[in-house]
Amino acid sequence: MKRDFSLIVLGVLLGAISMNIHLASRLDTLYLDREKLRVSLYETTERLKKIEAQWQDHRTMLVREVEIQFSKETQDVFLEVALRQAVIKLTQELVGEKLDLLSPYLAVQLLDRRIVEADNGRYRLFVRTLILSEKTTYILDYEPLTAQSDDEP
Amino acid sequence: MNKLLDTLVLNVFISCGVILGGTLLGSVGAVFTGQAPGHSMLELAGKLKIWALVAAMGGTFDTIKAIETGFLGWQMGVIAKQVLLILSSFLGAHAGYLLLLYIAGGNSR
Repeated sequence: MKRDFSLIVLGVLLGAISMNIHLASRLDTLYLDREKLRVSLYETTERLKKIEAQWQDHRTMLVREVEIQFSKETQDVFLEVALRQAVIKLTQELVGEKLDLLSPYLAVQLLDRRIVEADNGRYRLFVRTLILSEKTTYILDYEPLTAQSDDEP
Repeated sequence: MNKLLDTLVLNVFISCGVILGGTLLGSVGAVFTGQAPGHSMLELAGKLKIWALVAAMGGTFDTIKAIETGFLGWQMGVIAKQVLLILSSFLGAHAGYLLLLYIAGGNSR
């Protein structure tokens, strides 16, 4: 009886593992799409909030959108999405700022050499290019910070 | 000599099993918690590699103690044996890691 039950549980586990291996790539894609949409939703919501708040000043040139690009090609798309999310949180304060009052030096210093946490790691950002306009664009580079992990024996 | 060979083969399979079992079952768990299974598989495989090595050797203290005894008593045979045990465990763990890497389609870290 116990043997049969154990065999059934083992069979269920093996089935779950095989199904997981078979569907892993599709589930990964769906997860990635969901995360991208979540970031996009957050970005759009924040932008909308700022623009609505600054509606009265719509004649002056304002930062309406902040775009983040990474200068180097990365193979870890999960990391890029996580970094983008972390950076967007930092740059949302720029949306709604008047362009003629915005200091380029401060805009660069907002992210340059800043350490952010993403995808279970810490990364130092470097601002390679900054384009200040209604659609402000940051072109960033990043490097991982190595530290002793807690889960090492 | 035969006993040593048996232990080496056992170590290879134990460490490989720790990696494969831990990662494959862990990724099933990742599905239940709404995470990406392929990505979790790669992360778990990387993290479990060192633990698989330790588990296959049955705790590191005996090995370290044997190496210490070997050094202090100039018994190079004992040290060589421990090094072989570590290497066999690493071999199994890395083989399991590579298998999972190819299954999940990731890049070696």
